[in-house]
Amino acid sequence: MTLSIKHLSFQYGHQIILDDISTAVEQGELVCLLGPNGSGKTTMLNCISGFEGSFDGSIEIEGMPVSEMRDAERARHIAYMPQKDEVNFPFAAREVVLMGRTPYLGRFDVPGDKDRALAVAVLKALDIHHLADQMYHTLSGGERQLVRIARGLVQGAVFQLLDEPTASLDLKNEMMVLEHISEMMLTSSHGIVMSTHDPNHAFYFAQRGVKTRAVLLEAGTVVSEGAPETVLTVDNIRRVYRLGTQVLHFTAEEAEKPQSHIVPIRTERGI
Amino acid sequence: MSNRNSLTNHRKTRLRMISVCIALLPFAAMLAALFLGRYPISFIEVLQRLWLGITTWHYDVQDVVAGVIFQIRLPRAILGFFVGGALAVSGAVLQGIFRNPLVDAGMLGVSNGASFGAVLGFIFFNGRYGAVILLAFSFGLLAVWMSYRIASAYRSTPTIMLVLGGVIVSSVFSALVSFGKYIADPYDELPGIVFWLMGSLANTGYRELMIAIFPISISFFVIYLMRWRMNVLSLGDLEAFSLGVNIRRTKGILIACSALMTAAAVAVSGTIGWIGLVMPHMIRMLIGSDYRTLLPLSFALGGGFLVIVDIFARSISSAEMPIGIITALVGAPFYVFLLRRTKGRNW
Amino acid sequence: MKRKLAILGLILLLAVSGCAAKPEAQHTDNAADNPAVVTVTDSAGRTLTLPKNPEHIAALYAVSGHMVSMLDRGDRIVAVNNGLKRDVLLNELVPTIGDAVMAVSSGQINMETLLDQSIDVALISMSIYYDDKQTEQLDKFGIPYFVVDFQNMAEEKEVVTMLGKLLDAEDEAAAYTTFYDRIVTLVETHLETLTEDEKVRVYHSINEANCTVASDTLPADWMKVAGGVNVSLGADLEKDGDKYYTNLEQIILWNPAVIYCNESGVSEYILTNPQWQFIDAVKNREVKQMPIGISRWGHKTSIETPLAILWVANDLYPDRFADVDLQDEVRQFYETLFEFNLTDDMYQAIMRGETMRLPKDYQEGQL
Repeated sequence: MTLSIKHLSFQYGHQIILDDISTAVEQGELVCLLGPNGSGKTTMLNCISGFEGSFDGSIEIEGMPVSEMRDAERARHIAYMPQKDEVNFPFAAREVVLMGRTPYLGRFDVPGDKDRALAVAVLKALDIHHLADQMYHTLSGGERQLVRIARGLVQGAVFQLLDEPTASLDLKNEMMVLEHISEMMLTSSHGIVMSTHDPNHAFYFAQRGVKTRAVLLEAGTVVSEGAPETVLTVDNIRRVYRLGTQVLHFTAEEAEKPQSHIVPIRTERGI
Repeated sequence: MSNRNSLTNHRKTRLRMISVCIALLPFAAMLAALFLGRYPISFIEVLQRLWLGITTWHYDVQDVVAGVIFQIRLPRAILGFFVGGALAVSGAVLQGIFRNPLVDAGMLGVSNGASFGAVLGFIFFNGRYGAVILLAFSFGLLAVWMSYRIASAYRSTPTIMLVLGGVIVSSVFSALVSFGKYIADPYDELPGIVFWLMGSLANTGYRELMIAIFPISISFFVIYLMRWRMNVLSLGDLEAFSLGVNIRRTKGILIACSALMTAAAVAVSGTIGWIGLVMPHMIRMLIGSDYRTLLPLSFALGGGFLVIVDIFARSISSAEMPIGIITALVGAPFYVFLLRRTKGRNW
Repeated sequence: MKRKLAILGLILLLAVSGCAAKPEAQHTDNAADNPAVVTVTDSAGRTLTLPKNPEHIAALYAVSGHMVSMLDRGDRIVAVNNGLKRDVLLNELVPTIGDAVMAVSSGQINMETLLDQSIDVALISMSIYYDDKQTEQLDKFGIPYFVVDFQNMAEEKEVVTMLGKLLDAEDEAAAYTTFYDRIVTLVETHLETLTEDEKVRVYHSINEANCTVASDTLPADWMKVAGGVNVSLGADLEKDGDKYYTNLEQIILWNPAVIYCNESGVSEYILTNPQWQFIDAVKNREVKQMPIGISRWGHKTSIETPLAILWVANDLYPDRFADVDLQDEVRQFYETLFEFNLTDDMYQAIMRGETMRLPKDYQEGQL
């Protein structure tokens, strides 16, 4: 299955946020949406999810425009995990995961035993079953992201949109979330679009053996896209982030494969 | 690990017990309401008439005791249950939709709109009961419609705009109520208006019950059908949308239903504050936010509470003390007590 | 030390000013010598020296307007409250009421409106008198006020007599008290042989179905003369402002034989409401609308008290009043006291008690 984005443009008032973006997401592929703050990453995800409907261009799954899909049908194809987590009512983590079954329920239905079993299975698969009965809003940031990832899996959509899933997480939790996303890619054939502020995430997934493509945005246009090592060059990063960097290639102790890492460089003239 | 499991099991049993108690509360309260009142009827007499009533489905029209029980106390108790339940459920729904714990139906202008309709009834129709109720009902719905129109003048963030629209409409109707009171005849119109505005279940019979019971039941039924969608809405608009929920339509139906049930409640009993705001919080604190249990338990608690308050209202004094006074006096300390006990847990 | 002196000085100053006020008070005692002023006592027990037969009267309490009109000074009323402006019959009797300005609304006097009318005396209710802010204002602007209030028949006659003195209409006032006393005597003599057991138990609804009569009020007082026993007297009633509420179960418990309602619509409400059907009065269709003339007959602020007494007595014990022509007595009341010829149609309208307030599109002479 392919999610294709053709000539996507979006304006907010007179301000152009996205300008003629064309790309595609294949099943089994992870697209890392990179770019500085305000480059249009979140808006692009909002458009793909269908939530933002007033764009120009087209977003289609296998030739079917997302905007013409019925609500439930769309939700069975695209899951979206926005950056902002707005749950402020007390719900058990189990219930939050169970909500992923909504696209499969009738308008007035509630989840049944099968849905429940599926939720438990996913929680166990992600090794977070011990959180099931805890109140979602009392969990740590990392645990919450895992619960939301579980919900996305329960939702069963091929395409998963993740907006900055590691934002405001500490180093350990960040790694834990990235690890789970890698696992998800390696064990099943999702198509993931993940926006992130850290270009190194693209290298991380590539090193883990995930089929990774980086899309570098600047002011609503695609600067470069392709394999991480071809997109994330020192020149491209200087152009987009206005930052001097060096890309390090090394093989860590006890690691099997070499990995790449971008580090900012401070010279006599500053950054 | 097993210790933890037994703890959660213990908690679950306790939750189930509290739920059952809350669910039984309105029935106990309504039963108690049949026994209490100014007309002295002994415990035995009530049981006897009840037994006769249940077994034969008839009562002797000449029997004053049966008349007081079935014509005065019973409809009033049932109406109290429905009105209290409606106010609590509409509060629960609106708090969920607006993601704001300080919201109730009063905020969309329903209460003030309905009050203004009633004031018109007092001024132009001499306070005829039917006119007052019909006008209260119409203006309550008109108020929501106006709030909605104001909100839809702006395209972005309709939820916040609806709240703003509600505040505007609410204050306009509140001013109109004051204006109505100002021009009302202080000798014969004003007292009725004031008493009605303070809320009362006095003089309610099966006529009033019939007026209120259908809109409230139908609205509650529709809201209850959408209980799972309401849970999903708690995730926020974006996530609920991505789970296939039609945000605009779902919220629209829910708001319309809660407005309808509030208008029906306000139309028969005047403005009774406090219940819509606090009862859903109590359930959230005690049981949790899952609308599958929150909705029916809010209805039960709100309904049971109002029946109990009404028992006080008509037995504390020889006449009728306005219910609004008691709901605030009895409810507020209890709410604070609950808040301290649960330390705001689950909220 | 200096401060103490200052305080002492201040006290002395106050004392002197207090003394200075006294001679003025003494001056009022000489009112009897001055034909332009008159000394009267109002319902609050204040002794006042006011201009005799004042040109501009503010009737800020409905019944005071009724009384002034009865005393033939209706055309002097230049300011009224809103209730007075909408009294149908009163407007018929005194058309100039329609031109008077509205100076009281929701119990609050509009000072500027009042000042504009160069008022010689304002007739106010007890509730305004107890509102210190309003009386202070009246004092400040030098508007003399006379409190009109009464809780029983004697006080009602007393107020009329005092107003008669003030308005230089003592003959008119005497005509009222004479009529009043004659009717009371007439009813008393007709009911002389009535035993306690024969007396009918009555529930008197005032404005609202659940609102009734408390002890030591005018309606309680006159009902005794009319031979009815008010079931609510001495009961534990809920006081709200000047109203007394009871509840339905209590009324069922009292089980009155007759229910009188002074507000139109209430009797139908009681007769048609299934909840009231257990009361003897309702079962026997003894629920009646009381007549409404200038005011609701028998209301605590009605000047038609003697008519209420006669009507109720006649209604309760028709056999004993076979020799009394009710319509003629009613006609006499309005003719003697208001120089008004009551037509048969109008008499019937009063008896039906349908409307007292002016409809919105009311035109003069419509009734």
